[in-house]
Amino acid sequence: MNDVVTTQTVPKRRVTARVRRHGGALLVAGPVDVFELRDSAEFIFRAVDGIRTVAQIADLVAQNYDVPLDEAVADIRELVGTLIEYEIMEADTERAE
Amino acid sequence: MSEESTPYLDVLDELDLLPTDTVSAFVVGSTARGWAHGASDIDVVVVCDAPFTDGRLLDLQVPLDPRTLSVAAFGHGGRRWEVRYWLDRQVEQLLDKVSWAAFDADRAADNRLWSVEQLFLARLQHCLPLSGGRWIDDRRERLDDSAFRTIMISGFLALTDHAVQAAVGQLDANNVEDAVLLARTAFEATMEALLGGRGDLEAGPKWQARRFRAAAPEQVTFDQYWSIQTMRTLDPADPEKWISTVLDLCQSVSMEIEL
Repeated sequence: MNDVVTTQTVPKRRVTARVRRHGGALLVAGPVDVFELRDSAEFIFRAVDGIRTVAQIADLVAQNYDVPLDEAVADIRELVGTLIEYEIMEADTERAE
Repeated sequence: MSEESTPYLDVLDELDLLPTDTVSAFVVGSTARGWAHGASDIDVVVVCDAPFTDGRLLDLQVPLDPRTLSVAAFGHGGRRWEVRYWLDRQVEQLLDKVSWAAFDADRAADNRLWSVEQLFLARLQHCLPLSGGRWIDDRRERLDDSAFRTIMISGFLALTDHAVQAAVGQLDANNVEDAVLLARTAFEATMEALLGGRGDLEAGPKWQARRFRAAAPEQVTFDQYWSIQTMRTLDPADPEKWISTVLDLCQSVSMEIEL
């Protein structure tokens, strides 16, 4: 579990992140590494808008994929934490818990 | 010539500018798309088997074998005409260059195509056939099945990436004015990628607004496009907000363009 990202973290996609759609998948890249996002991972990436908190994104994921809320939160924290680490996203720490 | 002959071919014939071994001829550019006005050039492509030699022709360099194609430029009927004479075997080489096999063999190749080659292929998609319709249909089909679209869109998005990185760098250095211009550059490249995704790869500023209206992409409305291109929402007191909005839009649009 990622400790940096909380339910109140407001993640934002960095404008410098490179994105490409290829073969039905969304490829996202920071300065070095490229990640392939499919299905729910892409859904989460799209839901990140610099306004919604992790908790609010989790509500969307839980509704859309019919999964328990705590499971959605865990998945988002993991993904967002990784993408922050690779400089594809950033977090508004002022609004974090 | 074939039964598909038109007044365009008659003009070339009268001026002895139509080779006897012509396999195909077509009008390209604004005339072919029905957008020409009274001062528009008439651009014609003639494809033939052997190099067309005539003292009035100029040679244009191409990275193919042979390394030149002939160009006739002249005035007729109050319009400026330009005729480019491609060889059938040059077109074959060009289609080979944009094949998936060639693309997959070296996806990172920069400058795979010269602009003269890009223009030929992009215009083939919207050309007005004059003769050799079957030849044109066959080459269009092969072009549709090729990596050309992917190559072009990837190039536009690479330009977007470069401009976005540079804009952010200039913002960090408090050079807001250049950041504004770079954001606009990023937007223009993204719009070319978007239009490319809609099958219009005739990139360039000359007809971009018209091409945008014709393509009517669902990701960006014409009003949005026009507002950013004319920079009418740029507040001189807060240019950073405009830059941020434009760069965010570039990223959102890039996500929707299938390579």
